[in-house]
Amino acid sequence: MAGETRLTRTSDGWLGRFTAMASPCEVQLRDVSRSTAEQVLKRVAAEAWRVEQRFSRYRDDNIVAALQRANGEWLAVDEEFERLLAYADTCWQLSGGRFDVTSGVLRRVWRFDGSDRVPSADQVATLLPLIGWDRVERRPGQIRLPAGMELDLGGIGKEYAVDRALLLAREHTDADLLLNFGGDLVADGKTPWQIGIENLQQNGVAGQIPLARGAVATSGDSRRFLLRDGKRYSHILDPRTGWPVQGGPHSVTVAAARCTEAGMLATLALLQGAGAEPFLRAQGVRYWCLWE
Amino acid sequence: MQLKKRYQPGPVSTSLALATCALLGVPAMAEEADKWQVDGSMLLYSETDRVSAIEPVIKASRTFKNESKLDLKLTVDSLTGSSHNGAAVTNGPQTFTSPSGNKVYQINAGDVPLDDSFLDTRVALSGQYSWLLNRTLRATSGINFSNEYDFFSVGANAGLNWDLNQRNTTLSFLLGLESDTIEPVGGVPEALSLQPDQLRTDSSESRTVTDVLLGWTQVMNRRWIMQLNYNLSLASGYMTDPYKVVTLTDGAGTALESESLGGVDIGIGDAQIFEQRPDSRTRHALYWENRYSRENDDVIAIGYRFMTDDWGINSHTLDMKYRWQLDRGWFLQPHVRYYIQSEADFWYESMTAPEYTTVLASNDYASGDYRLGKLTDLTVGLKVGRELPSGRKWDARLEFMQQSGDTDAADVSAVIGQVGYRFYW
Repeated sequence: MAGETRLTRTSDGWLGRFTAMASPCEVQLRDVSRSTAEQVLKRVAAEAWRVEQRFSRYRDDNIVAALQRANGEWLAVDEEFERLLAYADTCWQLSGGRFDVTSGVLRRVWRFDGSDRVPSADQVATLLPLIGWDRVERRPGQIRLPAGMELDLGGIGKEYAVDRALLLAREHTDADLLLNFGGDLVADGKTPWQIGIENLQQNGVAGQIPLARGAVATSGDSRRFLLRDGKRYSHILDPRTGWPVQGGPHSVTVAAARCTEAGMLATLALLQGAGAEPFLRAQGVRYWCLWE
Repeated sequence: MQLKKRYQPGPVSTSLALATCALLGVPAMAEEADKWQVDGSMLLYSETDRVSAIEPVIKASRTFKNESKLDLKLTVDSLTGSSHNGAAVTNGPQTFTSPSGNKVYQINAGDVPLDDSFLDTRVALSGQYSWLLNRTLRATSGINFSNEYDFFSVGANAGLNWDLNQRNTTLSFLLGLESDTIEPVGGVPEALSLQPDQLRTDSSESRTVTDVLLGWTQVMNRRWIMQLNYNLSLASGYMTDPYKVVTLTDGAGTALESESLGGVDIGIGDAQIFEQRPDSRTRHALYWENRYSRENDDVIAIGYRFMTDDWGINSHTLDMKYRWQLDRGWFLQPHVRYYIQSEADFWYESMTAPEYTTVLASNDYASGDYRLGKLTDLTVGLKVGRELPSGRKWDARLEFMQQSGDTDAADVSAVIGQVGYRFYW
């Protein structure tokens, strides 16, 4: 999967842009030559596209699609996929089953388009047997997904691509660097960057924080919901029930050392519903919640 | 849904940070940011019939947001028991004065001459701070103090660590300066004089030590790290041990009498002279270490050290550890260490009267300290411990050391026990 990259001069360096994972992506660099900036941008974009190609559930030519086609048979997986599965397993354990990469099948009945089309209890119940990370079998180099189940690494992929891209960019330059893939970002430099936090907004204007080193990621989307009989259904689904989590923020932004970690903390907080803030406070991280 | 344990929403950020590092294949930050990592340990060292030591150590280190790091360490050493006074094992009884010169004691024929007034407490304090100059260059600087009743030491160091080659290579440079003051109990004895004469000057002595360390650490591949260090140490000043003597004998294993050499008579076999060492020492040491992580997370570490100095001592150390990683954070770590050293040019098990005359005439060096003689040490041990998910860790170690050399004085066996605990605060 290739695409276009564009590089422009800024007051103190370079800004590269490209599109990946349905998001606008940016690379900012300070104090480097055009050719270095060009190299870094190409490398970062190539990594974003590679991760998207390998793990997107919207494609039919990757491991995720092959796994579904395996129809209950064992399938060989490579080391990178194994590491992602190990990470997903840790998150499932740490969240008491609230974070589950097999819960994507719920999208078949839940479509958060602002309408009032809330599925029936029966519709949701018929999908529950297809959910459950503990039903996925793994052995070294292999995985087996019971027939009918699906795997969705969407909750990890973009943040993982950001962290991966930073590691690769560092092979080209030691300069100050900011990678921002659709709001999930990592800064790595000596002089802080001003980072806009949507959840900090007042009167529609996003607040800013300085960030020299570290990552910020957001989970949730205040525009995705269902409204029926005056009740708002959030798009955060609890895989244990198949129903939306109640009483939580619409979106959560977390700052942490790495983007994958920040994104997962934000996701796990959303899955706590009304308990999101106590959960975040217990983590000792900086966070911002958007409630309305 | 079946879960391994009942879920309690609580702090998961540490586990998640570690999992993220594993996912990205980058080394995990061992220390939790914004907290003190505190390591406490208690060491017990016991030689059969000789010295026993208790050594509590407390270390605290903290990594700050800007990646600068502060390490503090407090060590207290408490020694009791008997230590070899340098004299030879002879066929007849021998007579010595205590370190202060105020008392006289006798050692029986065939016994290793030990001074049982050995009692000392050392307190040492050090602080080291390191900080990033830029992305690849880290500076470090530290100070240290050490105090005993007859010894005071102050030192300072400064250095640089340079990451290269995508951090697969680290070059380091460290310069250390140390100044020691020695104030022997009872005064500074006159080197090479007969102990019964008690020729002492009520003064103190000093020495300075300059250390240069050049280091090269190389990540060979994902599993193998190699380290090569070169250390040059230049010491100048008073290096003599004021409490050690050399026995003058008839060459057939019997100690001479002080009075026969024109000295004071304090008893039988009292011809013991105070030792004298050179006032400079240049040491070169090369250390090579390899660490290999196996597929199953076990770690093999093999280290080799070669040291040579201008006193004529060469030593080789081979150190091997295997860390056997068990379930749920438990580990077992067997350890073997082998050490061999040659003797110093001026080491004498004992000295004859003609040899003494020659040494005295040329103001040459002489020492009977078995630590400057030929030595072979073998240490075997086992460490067991557990790392808890919170980053806390405890371990316990038991080791046995057997030492031998050219004299009975060098034959020492020791038991070493240590317990340690790490927590974050």
